[in-house]
Amino acid sequence: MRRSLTPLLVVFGLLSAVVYGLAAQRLAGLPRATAKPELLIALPRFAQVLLAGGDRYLAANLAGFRVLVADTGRMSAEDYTVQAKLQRDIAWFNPAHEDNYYIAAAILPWNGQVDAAQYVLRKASDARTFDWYPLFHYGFLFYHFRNDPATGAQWLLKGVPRVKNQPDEWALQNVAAGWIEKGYDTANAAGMVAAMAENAPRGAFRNYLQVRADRLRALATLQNAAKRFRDLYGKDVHSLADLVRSGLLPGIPKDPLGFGFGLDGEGRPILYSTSENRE
Amino acid sequence: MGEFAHSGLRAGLRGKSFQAVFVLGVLMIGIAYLSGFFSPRQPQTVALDVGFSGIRFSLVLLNLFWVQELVAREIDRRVILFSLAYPVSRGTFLAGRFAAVMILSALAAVVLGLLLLVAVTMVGAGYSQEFKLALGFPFWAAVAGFALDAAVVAAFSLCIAALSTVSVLPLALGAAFALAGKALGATMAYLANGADGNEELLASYDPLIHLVKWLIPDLSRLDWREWPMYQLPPASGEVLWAVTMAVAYIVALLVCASLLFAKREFS
Repeated sequence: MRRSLTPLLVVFGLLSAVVYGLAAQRLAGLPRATAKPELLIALPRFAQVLLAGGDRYLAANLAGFRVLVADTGRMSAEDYTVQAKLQRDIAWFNPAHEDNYYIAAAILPWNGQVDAAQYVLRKASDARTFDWYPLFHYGFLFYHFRNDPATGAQWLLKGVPRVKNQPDEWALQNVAAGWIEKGYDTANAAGMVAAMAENAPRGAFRNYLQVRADRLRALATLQNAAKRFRDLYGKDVHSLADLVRSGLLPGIPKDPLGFGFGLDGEGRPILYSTSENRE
Repeated sequence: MGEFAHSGLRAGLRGKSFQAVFVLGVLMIGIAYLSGFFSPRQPQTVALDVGFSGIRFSLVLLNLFWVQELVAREIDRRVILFSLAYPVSRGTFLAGRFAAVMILSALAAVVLGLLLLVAVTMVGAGYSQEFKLALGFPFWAAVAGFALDAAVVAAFSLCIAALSTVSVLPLALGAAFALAGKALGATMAYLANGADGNEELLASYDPLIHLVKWLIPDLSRLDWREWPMYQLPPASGEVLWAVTMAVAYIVALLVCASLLFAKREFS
C-alpha cells in the first residue's frame, strides 16, 4: 500500500508545481487593475494608528516613508491632494516630525496645497519650540503664496528668540524688515528659495528647490523688463515677444519646468503652473 | 516566591518562543537602522523613532510569551500541580512568576536598548544632523517607559491566565489589550478634536471611549520618546501620574489574579 502511494504523491506534487508555474506565468501577463505606482489612497487616521499597533509615532513614520518615496516627477494634481492629506495626518500623529514639515514646505505650496502646508508648518512651529525653520517657512508661505508680506514678517520675528547664533538672528530680522518695508519682490523670493535649496541635503530635494528658484529668477528678469518697457514706451506689453522685439531682452528665458511664462490682465509677466494654460 | 521566580527565569530563558521573539527584536533594530536612510534631514531621529516602536512591540510580545510559557502552559499541562503542592499560597506562585517576567523583561529592554544605541550611532556616521539626540538618561527613561508599558500588559495577561481554561487566551487578549491601551490616547485626542467633523462617528464612539478609558489605562502616556528624540522632556506631573497609574493598575490586576487563582479548581 505504502509503496504504491509514494510515486502517486510525487506525481501529484510535480503536477501541482507545473500548474502553479502555469498560473503564475498567466497572471504575469495580465494587466493589473491599479497599476499607478504613486500615492493612491490615504486611510483614515484612526485606521493608520491601528495598523501601526496603536503607536502614533510609528504611524507617522510609515506615512512619512510613503510621502518620501513618491516621485514628484510623476505625480498629478490628485496625487498632491493625497500627499497633502498624508502630510496633515503625519503632523497630527507627530507634529515634531522634522522631515514632514520640511517636505511640506518644499513641495506642497508649489503644487496648490497651500492650506495643507500651512497646517503642517503651524503644528511643527508649535511642537518644535527649539527650531526656527518652521516659523521661517510659515512666514514665507504668507509672503510668497498669500501675498501678505506683513503677516509673513510677523511670523519671522516670532522665530528670532529661537535662533541660537547672532548672525542668523540679524539675518532673520533683516529679512523681516525688508518684507515690511518693500512688500513682495520676485527677485527677493527667488533668492530665498535658492537659499533654501542650498540648505537642503544633496539630491532630489535640492534640485527641486533649485528649479523653483531658477524659475522665479527668470520671472523677475521678465518683470523688470516689462517695467522698463512701460517706462520707455508708456504702454503695457501685449505679449512677451514685445520685450525681445524692443531689444530689452536677448530672448525669452527658458522655463526649467517647461510650463512657460505668460501675462496677466494688467500686462505683468506671470508663471504658468500647469501645461494646460500654455499659449 | 524566590524559588518560583528562579525557576521561571531559567524556563523563560530556555523557551523557544523567547528566542524567536528576541531574534525578531534584533531584526527590528536592523529595520530601524535601515529606516534612517529614508530621512533627508534627521536620519538618526527616524532610526531612533522606529527603533523605539520596535522595542515596545518586542517587549510586549516577549512579556506575553513569557506569561504564556510560565503560567498558562503549566496550567494546561498540569505541571502546575507540582508547584502548588508546596506549602505556600497560590498567590505566591503568581507573584514569583510575575517577578521572573519582570526581570527577564528588564534584561531584554537593556539588551535591545544597547543594540538600538549602536544602530543609531552608526546611522549618523555620514551626516551630522542639526538637532542632536539626547542619548543619555532621556534615552533610558524612554526605554524604561516601554518596559513599564509591557509590564502592564504582562499583568493583564497573567490575570487572564489565572482564570482562563483556554491556553492561548492570555496571549490573544493580552495582545488586544496592548493595542487598545496604546491606541487609546490617539483615539481620545481624535474624538476630542471633533473627529474631523464626522458627527456620526463622534456620537457613537464618544460615550464608549468615556467608559473604556476607566477600564483600560492610556498606555500612550508611558511613551516619553520625544525627550531623547527632540530634547523635549515630558512634564514631571505627567510622568508621575503616568507611572502611578501603571503601577496601581498592575497591583490591582495582580491582586485580582491571585484571588481568582486561589478559587480555581484543577480537575
